[in-house]
Amino acid sequence: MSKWKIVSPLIALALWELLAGLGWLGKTPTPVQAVRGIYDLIATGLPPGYHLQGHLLASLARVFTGFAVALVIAVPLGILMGAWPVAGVIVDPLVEAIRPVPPLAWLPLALIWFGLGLASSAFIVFLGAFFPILLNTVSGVKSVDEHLVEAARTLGARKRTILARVLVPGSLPSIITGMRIGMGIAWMTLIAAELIGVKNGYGLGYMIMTARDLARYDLLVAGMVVIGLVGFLIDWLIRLGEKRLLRWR
Amino acid sequence: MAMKAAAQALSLRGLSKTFIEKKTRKELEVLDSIDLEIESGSLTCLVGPSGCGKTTLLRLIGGLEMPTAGEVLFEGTPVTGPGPERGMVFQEYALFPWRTVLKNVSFGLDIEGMSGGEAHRKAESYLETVGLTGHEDLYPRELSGGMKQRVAIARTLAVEPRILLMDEPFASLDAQTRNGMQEFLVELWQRTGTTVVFVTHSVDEAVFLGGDIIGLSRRPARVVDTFTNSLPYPRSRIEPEFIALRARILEYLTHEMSDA
Amino acid sequence: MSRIRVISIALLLLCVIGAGLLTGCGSQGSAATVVRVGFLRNDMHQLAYYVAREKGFFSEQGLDVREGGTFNAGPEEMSAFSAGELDIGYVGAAPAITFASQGMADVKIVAQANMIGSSIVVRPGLDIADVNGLKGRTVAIPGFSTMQDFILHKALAEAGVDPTELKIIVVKPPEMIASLAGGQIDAAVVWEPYPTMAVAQNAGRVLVTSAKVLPHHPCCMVVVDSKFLKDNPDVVKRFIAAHIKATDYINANKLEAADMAHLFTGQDAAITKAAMKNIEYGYVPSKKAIQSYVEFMKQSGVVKDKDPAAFTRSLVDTSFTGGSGQ
Repeated sequence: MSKWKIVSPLIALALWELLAGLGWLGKTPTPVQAVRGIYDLIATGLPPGYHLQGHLLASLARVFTGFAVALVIAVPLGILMGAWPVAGVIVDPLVEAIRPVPPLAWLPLALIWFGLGLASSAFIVFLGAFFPILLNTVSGVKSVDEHLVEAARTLGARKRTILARVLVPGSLPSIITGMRIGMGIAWMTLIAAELIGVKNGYGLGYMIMTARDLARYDLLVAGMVVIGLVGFLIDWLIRLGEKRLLRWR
Repeated sequence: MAMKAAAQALSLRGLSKTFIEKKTRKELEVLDSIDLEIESGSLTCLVGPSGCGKTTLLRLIGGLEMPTAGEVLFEGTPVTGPGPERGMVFQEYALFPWRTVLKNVSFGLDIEGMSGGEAHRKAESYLETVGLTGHEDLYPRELSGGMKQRVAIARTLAVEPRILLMDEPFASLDAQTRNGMQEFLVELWQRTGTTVVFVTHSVDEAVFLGGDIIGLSRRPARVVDTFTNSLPYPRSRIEPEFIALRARILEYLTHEMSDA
Repeated sequence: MSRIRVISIALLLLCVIGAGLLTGCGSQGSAATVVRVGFLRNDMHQLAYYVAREKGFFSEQGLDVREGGTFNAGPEEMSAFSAGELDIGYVGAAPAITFASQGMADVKIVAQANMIGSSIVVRPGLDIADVNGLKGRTVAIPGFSTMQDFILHKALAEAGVDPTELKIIVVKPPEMIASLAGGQIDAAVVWEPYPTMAVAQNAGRVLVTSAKVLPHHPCCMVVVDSKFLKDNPDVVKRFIAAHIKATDYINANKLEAADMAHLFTGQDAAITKAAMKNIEYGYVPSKKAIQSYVEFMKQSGVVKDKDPAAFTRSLVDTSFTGGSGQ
């Protein structure tokens, strides 16, 4: 069954090589050029001297910092809001007011508040990841079977125990879903933020922006491939963790 | 006086419950002035037509609902909330899906703060009681209905309740498994001597299990009649006395249901 | 739908189509040649375009100038050239050279738009006298291998400072002022009107102007799509004529030009007036100056496999402006 997974990517790749090679896609580089570009990015770097590894590390550091902060705030808050409707009613209006604003729109403000370093990009990432995690946590808690809570109560559980031993494990599947969605948005938002404003020498978004500025479209596409791969890998890792933690499903 | 109080595990006095529907604000009277005395160590069955309020009655005893009028006295004291001394077994099993069979059974012990090793051992023994030794590391999704219910029972027994409240626990099981579970319950009760209150809408099941069978009316439920079942255990469903008692109760209930 | 509704909608459509046809016919006039032009929004360096347009110099030449898009940065505009969307454009030398050397856009530089017009600005509180004081400091440039990057390296080389003794980072000009004011960068190299704005907002002071570092260095140029040039050399000639007239006009009417710059860029009138003092408007491209810049870009690895002299010769066409190999 898994063998069929390769079919569509292979066809797409072949089509790309064909069309780009024929020049039908403007001056878009071919997959082969893109792969050579990846080698270039590792060996020479873009700008020269700034190697892919450095860009990758910088972007990963930013996305994980922002994501971690989002997780640490959104999960407890979400559990609270899910377990106590009053908390939900109080916090919800604020959440719904901020959520529609795209994280990138905060960039100019973020730069004023946090400067050009890690904090401002981590903040943008935080905004991207926070809402999916929060919303999924709340719905996860609310969807925990009432009977489980009642069973726990009849076995002598108090509110705090119910929270820790029923609501948290019961909502874990939803929380992890929220994490996957949040991480996906976080990664995309980070690259876009690095494209536009946040840079101090390193970053995958900055790298492809430089490629564009220098008209090195082969490196641009190579960078896109790397970005896509890394995003895919991170998601794959989360799914792996999900399988481990949710063995009981 | 004290002796009598101890013998009365459960006292329901003028128990009434009315629900108010959230959206329509309509009043729904479910229980109408129930008076009941249940002896310690007895196996009592509550029968009645579907939807008559038997579950609500059980939940009031369990402390998951509060009465609108009247009171529920457990060993002389009013019930104010759920607790391990009044263990409940639900029709839906309500096993924690993320815990293994063993960890489900040990749940009540874990939250008491019992040490891991001791909780493990105790849970093991209760698993043995319900005949599920060897299934410790399975997850609920891997179990059949009957096995799940046995785990649920073991989980409740593990906290050593003084009264076992069972809400149609075998209703979702197929006929054969159901009969097996009924026999299992009788045998368990005889061994442990716990007071059992068993809710069912199957007269057959009630006659098989119950020492006392309490018939409830249609909603709003009242106690229609109490039937004493003195058939010796183990009972046979094809015994003439069994069939006769069953017929009597059925007739009463049918009569009750057809009343305007 | 009711009959009346159908009829009214049909009538409305007819009116719209009719109006469209009429206006279409009107503007097509007699032999006005359409030229698709690109320029950078709010860029004072490209004032000649605006003046030529507003004063009617283009239509005098029988040119119907259509704006081919809104561009915020040079590389964006060069991408449009790459896609065949533009015929002629006002753009920075850096992106034009970069895209041309990578084969991503086939263009020729046919005229200068401005010279100098940048400065090294230091943050308030940084008490240094010259470029030497930038050792160990963080300096922002608008992009790797831009003209400003070039100027910075030139200034450092003249002062005998090794560029590796500085921390050079890329910050987009709009954020430079805030970063200077906030002390997150020590200095910035950027084009007007940003230096003037920084000073006006007390966010920085000018350490040295680019004119001091590299007198008359090129900045923005007029470039033409090579194919368009080959097929329509006469059109290009007329366009440059209008450009020359506009450039001369600016130099002869500085005050009025400053006011037009204020309208063109939306910048404060006082700012544009002060900024104008630091910009030179000229139209003759200097092959020598451009070649020097290409050599810098080759050094930094941006331009490869090209002999700077040969590349510059093939890129710059001075026939329209009467310049020699200066």
